[in-house]
Amino acid sequence: MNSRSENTVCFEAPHDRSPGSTVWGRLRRDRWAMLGLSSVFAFFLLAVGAPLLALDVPIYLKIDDERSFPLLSELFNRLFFESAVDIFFNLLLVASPAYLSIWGIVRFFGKSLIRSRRHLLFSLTALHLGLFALVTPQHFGGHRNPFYRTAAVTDYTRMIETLKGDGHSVQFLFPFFRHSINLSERGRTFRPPSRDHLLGTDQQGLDNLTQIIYGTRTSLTIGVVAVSIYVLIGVVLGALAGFYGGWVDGVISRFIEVMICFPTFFLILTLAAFVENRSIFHVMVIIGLTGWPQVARLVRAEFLKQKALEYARAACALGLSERRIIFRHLLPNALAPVLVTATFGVAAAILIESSLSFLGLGDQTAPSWGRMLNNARETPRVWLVLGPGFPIFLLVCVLNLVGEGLRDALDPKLRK
Amino acid sequence: MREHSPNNRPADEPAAPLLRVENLKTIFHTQKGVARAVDGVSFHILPRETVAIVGESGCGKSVTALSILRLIASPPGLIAEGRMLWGEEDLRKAPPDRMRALRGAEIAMVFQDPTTSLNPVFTIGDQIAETISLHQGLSSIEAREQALHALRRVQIPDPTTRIDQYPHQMSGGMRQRVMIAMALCCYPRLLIADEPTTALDVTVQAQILNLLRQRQEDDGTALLLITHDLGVVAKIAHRVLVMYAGQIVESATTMDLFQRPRHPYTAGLFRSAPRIDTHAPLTPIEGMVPDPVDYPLGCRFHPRCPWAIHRCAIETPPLRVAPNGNSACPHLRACWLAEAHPEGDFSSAPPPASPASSEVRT
Ligand SMILES: Nc1ncnc2c1ncn2[C@@H]1O[C@H](COP(=O)(O)OP(=O)(O)OP(=O)(O)O)[C@@H](O)[C@H]1O
Ligand code: SF4
Ligand SMILES: [Mg+2]
Repeated sequence: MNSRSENTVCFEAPHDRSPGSTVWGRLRRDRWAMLGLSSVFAFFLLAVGAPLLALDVPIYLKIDDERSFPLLSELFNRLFFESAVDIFFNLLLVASPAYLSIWGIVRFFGKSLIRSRRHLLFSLTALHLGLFALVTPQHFGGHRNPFYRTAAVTDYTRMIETLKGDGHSVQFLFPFFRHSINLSERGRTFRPPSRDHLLGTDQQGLDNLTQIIYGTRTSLTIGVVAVSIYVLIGVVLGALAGFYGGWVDGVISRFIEVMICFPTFFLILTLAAFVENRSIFHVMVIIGLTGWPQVARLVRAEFLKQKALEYARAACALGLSERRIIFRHLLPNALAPVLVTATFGVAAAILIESSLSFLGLGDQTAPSWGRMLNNARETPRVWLVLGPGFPIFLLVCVLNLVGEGLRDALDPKLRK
Repeated sequence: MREHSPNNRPADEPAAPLLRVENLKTIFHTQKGVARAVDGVSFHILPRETVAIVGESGCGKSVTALSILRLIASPPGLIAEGRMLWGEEDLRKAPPDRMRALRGAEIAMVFQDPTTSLNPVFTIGDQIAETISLHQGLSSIEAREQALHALRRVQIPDPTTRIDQYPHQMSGGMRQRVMIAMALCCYPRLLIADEPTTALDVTVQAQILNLLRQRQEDDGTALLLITHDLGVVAKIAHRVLVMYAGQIVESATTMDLFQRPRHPYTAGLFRSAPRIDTHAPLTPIEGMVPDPVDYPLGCRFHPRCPWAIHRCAIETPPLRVAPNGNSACPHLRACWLAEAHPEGDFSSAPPPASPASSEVRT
């Protein structure tokens, strides 16, 4: 086993390979990591495709001879999808065919169009964030945002029944699970799992499975955004401390030490208790503001190591500016351990959000798994506890698999 | 091999020096105290000239080179005194912007260890092009053209493929060529090479030296070469500075120095280096390099000098011109005994008497 894997390494001796693709090659041979990675990807698909999977709005509707696609317009109806998180994912759902075809075209025409895959990924991300920023806010400097759509919420099921009763011919295609995400029904509360409601219903009469599917969006967003915030803070502070040393390092290191002294979760609890009307964005920012010391410490250590290598001095001897040396030359070499920490961090942030919601300190309206658990605690039903509990467990597990795999792939010497 | 060097000496007209270093002192604040790594070094480099700095490990060669480019990390280190005149301009006082514009464009440097002196995450083409577009403001396509040209100039085989490769795909010698290409890509007027061949095997060493000499002759770059290999010095240097304990103890043309070293330390270096023409046994210089925090009084070499006289432990010998030397390029040395015996020969054998009794002979 051992000798075989060494053989493969020799055989695929990296030629014309960037360090990144070498790491990817190693990761691909790690079965557990790939399992984790594909599961994370599946969760992501679930988050993006949620409206196609569970919603009570028809994707396609044909009344007599009039065809329409009600789902498409409801995706951006802010009376229907209130949260910006939903808008983000809905936009991704609608735009992803376009993104995929851009990707395909560029890959087809090769390097002449854009310099590397990484640049393409950056451009597409920027494009998406730009669109998101265009669609989301209600006002732009005092003017109403024309892309901010509000329309009365239609009950399509009732509408279709009425039309049928009036003798119209109606054809329609609903998402897989035809359940509402926000219209509660008194008569349906606490139904146990059945054919209609695979995981039962909750205290508001909403379908449990539907809530869990949309909860994926909240959990993934919280994990990624919170970690991005603290990676950004940690990288900048750590880089400055490691590169400049002296008093800059002194100040930042003391700050890190002070922050590390506090047990993070209690710090988060305290901060959360200060914020009124907590939204999930508050939760993300709170996690983001408390998580950075660990990253800063890693990056600082890595910068101390990297700046002593001759290429840093060589870059300086070639007249590059300090900013360029720090962020363009040293940073990419210092990011490997951060990538691993960030992966574990996403899992940790999801757990923290769940814990906060469970303690009643999270967002009381967002469909998050933690909030569902909290509701289940008040009125315990086994499907309401296991339903959101299992995906938390699963997502955290697979993220940790990816983290472990990345760690091994980035530093094969550490591998046992 | 040696006849290459004196032949292409720059014309003996009194050209204005490219760089004139005067009384350079660079110190480091260490736990043990202030390390005087470079302690009053003065020299100059003419345009198109190759000057070698030799000396044992830790004598301050690299710190001298790094001081010129102001690459001394400032919390522990400090260029405490002296002037480094680049034309009329004192580099010690130059603002950071000006230094950045000079580095890589007018003064470039090649480092010792080619395994770590290239950034592992960028292709070599990107790294060279970055320097070019920084100093010459070229577009990325033009810069890439120039980078390709720079790779050709250092005779990298198959440059169109190599330009898109990462450093880890290249051998040490090839990486050192890339480093030289990067240093020379903006046609600097001075190239500082800090032990450019020490980490390479012998055949590659010879290739790199030939390359350096060729580039230097074709581009007219002056070269400040740091090495402890006297063979390298003989091969390409016009002039040699011998450093010991942060100071220059001897300075002469390569010819003069190799014909007759006029300082016991230089003679000791020669005796400890293998030679082809004689089969004299190798005799390393005894004792340890002094600690830069605590140099001995008097001549810093005296605890190790087999010729030391009483005066050596008390008074520091000044760097003075040896009589009857080359008038165009004076032979300087800092040694009491050499002053007392201008014709004294330190090169043949160690003195018969012990240091204590050698006083009698003076
Ligand atoms: N960053 C530093 N901090 C403290 N002391 C230093 C530092 N850099 C150099 N020194 C001291 O300066 C002295 C000269 O070092 P330098 O690197 O110039 O030696 P060198 O002649 O280049 O030796 P080598 O042949 O080994 O490269 C050494 O004794 C070293 O202890
Ligand atoms: S001055 Fe004295 S100790 Fe120093 S090198 Fe000359 S003889 Fe030796
Ligand atoms: Mg050195």
